[in-house]
Amino acid sequence: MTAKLFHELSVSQEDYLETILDLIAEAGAARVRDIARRMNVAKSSVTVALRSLASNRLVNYAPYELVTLSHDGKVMAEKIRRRHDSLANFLVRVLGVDEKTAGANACRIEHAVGEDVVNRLNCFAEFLPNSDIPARELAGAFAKFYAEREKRGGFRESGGGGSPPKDTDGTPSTAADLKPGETARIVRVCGEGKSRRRLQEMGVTRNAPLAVIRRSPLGDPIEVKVRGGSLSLRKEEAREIEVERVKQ
Amino acid sequence: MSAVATPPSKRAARVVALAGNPNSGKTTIFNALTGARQHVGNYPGVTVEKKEGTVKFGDDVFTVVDLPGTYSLTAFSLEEIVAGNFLIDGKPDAVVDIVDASNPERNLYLAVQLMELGAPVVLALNMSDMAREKGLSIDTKKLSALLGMPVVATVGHKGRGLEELLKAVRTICRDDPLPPKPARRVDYGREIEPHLDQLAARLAVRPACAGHARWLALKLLEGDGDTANRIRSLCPEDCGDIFRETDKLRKHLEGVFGEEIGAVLTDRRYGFIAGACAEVVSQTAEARISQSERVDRIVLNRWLGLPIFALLMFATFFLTFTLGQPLMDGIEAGFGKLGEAVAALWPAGGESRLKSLLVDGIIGGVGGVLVFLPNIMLLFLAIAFLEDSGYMARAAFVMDRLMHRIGLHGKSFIPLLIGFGCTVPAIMATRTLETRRDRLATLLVLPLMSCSARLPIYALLIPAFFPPEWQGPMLWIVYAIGIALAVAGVKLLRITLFKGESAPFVMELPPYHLPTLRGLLVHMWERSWMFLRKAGTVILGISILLWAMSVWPKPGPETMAKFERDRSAIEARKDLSGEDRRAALEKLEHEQGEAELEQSLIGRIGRGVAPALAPLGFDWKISTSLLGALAAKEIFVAQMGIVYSVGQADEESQSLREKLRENYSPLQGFCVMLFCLISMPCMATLTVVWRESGSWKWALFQAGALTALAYTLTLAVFQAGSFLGWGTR
Repeated sequence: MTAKLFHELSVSQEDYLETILDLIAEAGAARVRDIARRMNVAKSSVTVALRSLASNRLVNYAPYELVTLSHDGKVMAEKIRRRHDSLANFLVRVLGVDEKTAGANACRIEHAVGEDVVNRLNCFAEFLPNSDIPARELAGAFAKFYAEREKRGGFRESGGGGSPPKDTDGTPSTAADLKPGETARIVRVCGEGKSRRRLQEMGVTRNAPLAVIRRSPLGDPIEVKVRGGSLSLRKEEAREIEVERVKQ
Repeated sequence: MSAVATPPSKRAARVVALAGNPNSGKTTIFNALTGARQHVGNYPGVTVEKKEGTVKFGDDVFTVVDLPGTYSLTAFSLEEIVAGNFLIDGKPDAVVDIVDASNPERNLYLAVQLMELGAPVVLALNMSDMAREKGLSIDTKKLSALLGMPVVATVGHKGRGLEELLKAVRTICRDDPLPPKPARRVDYGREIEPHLDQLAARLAVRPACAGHARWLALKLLEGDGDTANRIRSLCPEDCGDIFRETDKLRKHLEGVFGEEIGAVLTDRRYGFIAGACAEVVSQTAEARISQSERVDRIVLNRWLGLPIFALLMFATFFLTFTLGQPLMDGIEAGFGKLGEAVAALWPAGGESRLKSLLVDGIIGGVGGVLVFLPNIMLLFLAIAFLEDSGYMARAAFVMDRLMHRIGLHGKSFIPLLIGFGCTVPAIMATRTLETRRDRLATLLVLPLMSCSARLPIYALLIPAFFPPEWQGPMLWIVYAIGIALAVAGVKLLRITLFKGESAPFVMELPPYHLPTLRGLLVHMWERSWMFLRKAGTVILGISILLWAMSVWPKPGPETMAKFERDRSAIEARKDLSGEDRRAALEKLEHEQGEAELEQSLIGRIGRGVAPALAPLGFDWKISTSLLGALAAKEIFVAQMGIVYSVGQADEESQSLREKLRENYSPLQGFCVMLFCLISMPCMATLTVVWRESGSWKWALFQAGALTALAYTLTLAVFQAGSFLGWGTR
């Protein structure tokens, strides 16, 4: 149950939960005013967000009262907090990022990273001090490896050589991974302002079915069918469209 | 109460704007409505075409404006900005939104935006025959009620439904009866609506915004820059407050949704459309594989795709140049005859400046402009066919990977290919490219595709300097250098002038259509007329100027008198046979031609720049000929003929080749070819670049950059070659 909700929370909702958890830990309670100040947003925004969190039964909120976390909310907030700490920990101890940068980056990464990856990172950070190889040597070996990789021409586009994220059952999750003939539901459209808006205005929006018709004879642009129209997309654009395969 | 109707004759023509997605058949409807009563101009300040025409319907006269095709009112390209501005600021009396009925969902997005804008819209469900074929049936009455706009089914290329369309337009123009209120509006949900209403109410107090306050509020929320500017000019005193409030609201809503607000609004609009479609569109027949899909299975087939593409490109090239050749020859011969006829009005042997101006300057110049026409007409006939049929998008689909690797768009292929024939129509063909960045990058490197006018130069020089077994490879080397430089040039432009995010390649692959003959002819005529009107006049002016520079000033009177004396002497000599005398006279005439060219402005400039070109291995004769080649590249050959006193020379002239062999080394010959290939393109090209890019700065930049490149490369080759002793005899 919790795991499912976990995915449905937006970036900012996760931030709200985390902030509330922090405030409760620090001052025993959270007030709208404090939340607004801490997150640098308007109070009205906080109210709206709290309402939406309350409707998901994650916080207990009524106007002019203190904000508290529900049981589910607390579990989830702690989970988010742990995720943040693990990431920051990993960034500092393994990659040698300074603490401030690590904290800021962890804040951003924590919303996108999958649970599996966090677990592995945790594991790795744990394994380091206990392994036979002295931690210092391992880190040194890693730094060397890193430097070499960088010299060889840097890293591949999609996050340091990894393949795009996969669904739990291993099905591909961007439009670029679909084979001709396959149909999927659009989960979201990533990417930057202009090209993203263009895609959306041409009908590539959430929940619309998307079918890959064919590849160009040279392999690159692909033809997709969305909302009754055929579009040609370069793979780099198709990679921005996250999809979920429709069960046949 | 009973207002007296203004007599129709006194009423100004109503303005009707045609809007719609690209490929919705907008232009077909425009052509069907206006027939020959069309006019193509430009929107002020930009290079986007403005097509206007008039329609008479009963007593009413409508001015129909064919707006560029757009998918939405959000401005992405210049075309869309122009279309959006016209719809919003131009306040047309009616807007006809042309919707491809066979693909209603995507096409209705624009309609919904127009509905939100509150424009007086008539919806034309075009290509309704194709929709029926696809098994789609659309309840027009219900759709009309839902959107609050009259809906008419049309079939543009058969002219069906136009009568009803015009009737609806007339009604909406007269506001009689008032158009129905939409039965439904896009509901943006509990989170957004109250804020939207609040913002709209705030804007609505100003009379200038009152009519479309909700629309303005939506656009402000999306962060649309144009709308912000509009607000700034409508209510300058408190726009700061409004912007602050909108920014706060946007931040707040993006916090709630965790997403860009524009994306959320787009989602909701599509949600609205999906709902509307569910109500009004019904699939009456089994969905079959469409005709287009069946064609695409062959045309875009993994193995057949490229050969079919190559075949069609060959056909385009063949049609443009091979079939165009006799027509061009005809035009050239015609103007030659005309020149002779005019020259015959003067007494034989007599010299007259007026005669020279008429025959060599004006008639030659007009001929030099018109000679491009067959190519342009045939090329645009072919391009119109490729575009109207829907293949153009497929060509880009097939070629994009290759072209993208270079840094261009799939559609750049056709202009580049045509560039091997003639750069002028090729530059005009860059119009098919949608983004300005792609267009400019393509047209700036286009002259490096060695055009056919440069072939005579190679044909003259290669046999003069290279042994037969080297002649073929040499020609390939020259062409390959051009292509390689073009590729490098685009790469360079991409990391300098056109840096940044490249335009997204979201391109529609429209269903195939059989183009109408009328559409093709209209398209062809538009382009040709545009060339004549906008470029032709300038080219004519420049060619007259270049002619004058090659004629004036004449050599001094003593030089002329000397030639006169020599001529009399030859004629007086009794020992020469008729044949020999003629030869001697001819030789004298060539010498006189050489002396005149040397004295002329071009000759003087040629001598002037010769020292600068000396490190490239060029003497003043080559320099002068290169200057003459600015009028047209092939003139280089004729000019060389004059400076070497061999008279009328062409690329087969053995006597000229002899002279060249005597005076220059193969290295110098190669350097001349290299320089001709790369340096400043001909005047006609520069003029068309100026016209098509909308700024003479681009033309100057192109001329300067290419000449600098040519100079540097030729210098390097000549100096290195001389040092290493390659081809120095």
